[in-house]
Amino acid sequence: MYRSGITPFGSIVLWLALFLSGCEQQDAVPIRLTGWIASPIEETLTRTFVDTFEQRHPGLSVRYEPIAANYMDKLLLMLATGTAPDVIMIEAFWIPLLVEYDVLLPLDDFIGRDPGFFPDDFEPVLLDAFRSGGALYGLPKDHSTLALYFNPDMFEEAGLAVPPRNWDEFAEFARRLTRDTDGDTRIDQYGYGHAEDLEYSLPFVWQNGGDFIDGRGRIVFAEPASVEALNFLRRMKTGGIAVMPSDVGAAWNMDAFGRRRVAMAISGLWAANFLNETYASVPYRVAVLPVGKLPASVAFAVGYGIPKRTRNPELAWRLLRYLTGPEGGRIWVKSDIGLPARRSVAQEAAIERDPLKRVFS
Amino acid sequence: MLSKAISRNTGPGRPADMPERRREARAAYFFLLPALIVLSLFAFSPLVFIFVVAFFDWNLFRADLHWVEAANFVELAGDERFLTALRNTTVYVLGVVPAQTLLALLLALAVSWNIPARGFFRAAFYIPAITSSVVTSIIFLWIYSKPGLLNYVLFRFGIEGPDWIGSPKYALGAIMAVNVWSTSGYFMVAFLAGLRNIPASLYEAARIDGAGPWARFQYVTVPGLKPTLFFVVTLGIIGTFQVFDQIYMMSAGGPVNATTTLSYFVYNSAFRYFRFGYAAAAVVLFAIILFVTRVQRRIIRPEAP
Repeated sequence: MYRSGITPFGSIVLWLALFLSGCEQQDAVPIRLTGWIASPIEETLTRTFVDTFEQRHPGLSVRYEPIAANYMDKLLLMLATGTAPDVIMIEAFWIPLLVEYDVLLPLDDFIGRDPGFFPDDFEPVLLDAFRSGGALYGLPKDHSTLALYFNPDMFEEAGLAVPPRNWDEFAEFARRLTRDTDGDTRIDQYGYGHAEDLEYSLPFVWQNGGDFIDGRGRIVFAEPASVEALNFLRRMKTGGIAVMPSDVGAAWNMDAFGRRRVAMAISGLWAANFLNETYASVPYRVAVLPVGKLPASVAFAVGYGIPKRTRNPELAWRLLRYLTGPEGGRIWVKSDIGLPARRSVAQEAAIERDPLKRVFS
Repeated sequence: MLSKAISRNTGPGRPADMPERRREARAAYFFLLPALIVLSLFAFSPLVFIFVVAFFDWNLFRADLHWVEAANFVELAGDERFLTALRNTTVYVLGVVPAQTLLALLLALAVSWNIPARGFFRAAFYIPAITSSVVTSIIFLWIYSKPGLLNYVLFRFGIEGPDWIGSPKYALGAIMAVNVWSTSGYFMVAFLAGLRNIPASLYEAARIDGAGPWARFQYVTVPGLKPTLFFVVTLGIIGTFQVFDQIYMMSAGGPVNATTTLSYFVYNSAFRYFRFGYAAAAVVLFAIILFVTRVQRRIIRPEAP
């Protein structure tokens, strides 16, 4: 009895050893890649990427580990504990924070040693967005500015033919588009649906000559130019012609647009993709933002970076250069989530002649 | 059998039984060892670690910790958000604990009577307790939303309801109500068990003595439920002090920090702003405040237990 008790334990150890050695024998450790999922099509495309990359690079394998929700919460913890994937999706907005935490690998050396990469092909503005203190910490995959989505049917019902061109028209149109559509004395269609996030108030602040944080890093929320812009939005809200998504029980502003609760909403190109997939029956058109004292919009640039504590910087770079290279750009173009970051790809895809996409460039 | 024999031969306190007791203690510790190891790894040492980290500036991204003396505590004392969190937590505990205890007691009394479909009601009241708090939070987000169920009902009565979670005035109260609703069922079961433990002979004796229903409740049920009441209130206080999931799911501490409780403040400081020293200091300071208020109460009311 006693001896037979030991044998299973020994066999487990043996199996474990065999299993582990079997892992060792397989080809190199997979390159880990992470990102959030803006839409199902993005996930499908990323998987296409991984497949084509593995085909082009025999012997290399990629493990795609998307983070479905609370991306930043999880990513920051992974970065802090050194468990982050080798290539991570990042937004240009985050560069100051990530550089402050000192978790990203500068990419200049890699680019310098890689003559086939053509960094000059990127839109210079986008590349600058990933730069901090002279070093480059990420490479753009795609980008989109914010534009005005409007429902042409609702515009027609309100007797409006063209999208608003300035703030006065914007407020006036919103007032005319706010209606009770089913006659129960409760308003069920509002002029404008405003997203809570800071980035969506920023175009108004910028158009009024204000800012949230100035060039020297001071907070300038309370300057008259910013206050005036935010007050414009506040008046629309208190006047009952603009709503927040939560006011109409929507998850976000384009959800409110899709549910026909608002006639106008501001978003990026990714919202077109969302509307096509989720609210296919809701008509929409896109225009540049109404102009305040000066025209301005916010650009969202999404790209990839390499964590400083990655075990395989060289391998990570090979995946990163493919994701953001000319060939990768051509795959991203199909996603309709953002515009290509490379000028050559944009030219090839004839973005300038696309009535929808050119609004976001 | 064995222990009986031992106790007959060598009673407690006699020198002869010392080796036996020592051997028993050794065996006990041996069996406790796995639990002790796990506890010290995941409970005791982090607890001690908190007191150490509170005096450092540590953000997890850099390997080095900076000794900052009591700077974290000084900053906390002047941090309006910390004071708001303390106030919100106090309101939360003082509001939720009595309400859920009372509701649980009423529910327990109601289903302890022989009413029709008693089993159904017992199950129905207990369902919130076994439902994931994430799920109940999302359901209540819908109920509380501007065009939600609650406002629909209010509209029927001619009242234009607010956006409950979106308003700094109502958000905390709304989340407190969810908490009362979701935990009362759980504590109801505790009270039911407590009611069962009161011997029927006491009620009988009271009835013979001419006690009415209210007198029976006051002089038999309430004293009989005292241990249960202590259990429910203690668990309730612990549970409400560490409220997190509903706040995280429903309001993320907003609007304007109206629902930032202490645990959410600590979470934010540590995992959003990566100020682990500051978060630890908040925990330590809170523990000190709790301790001081307890001591104070003893001094002011020495008869209190």
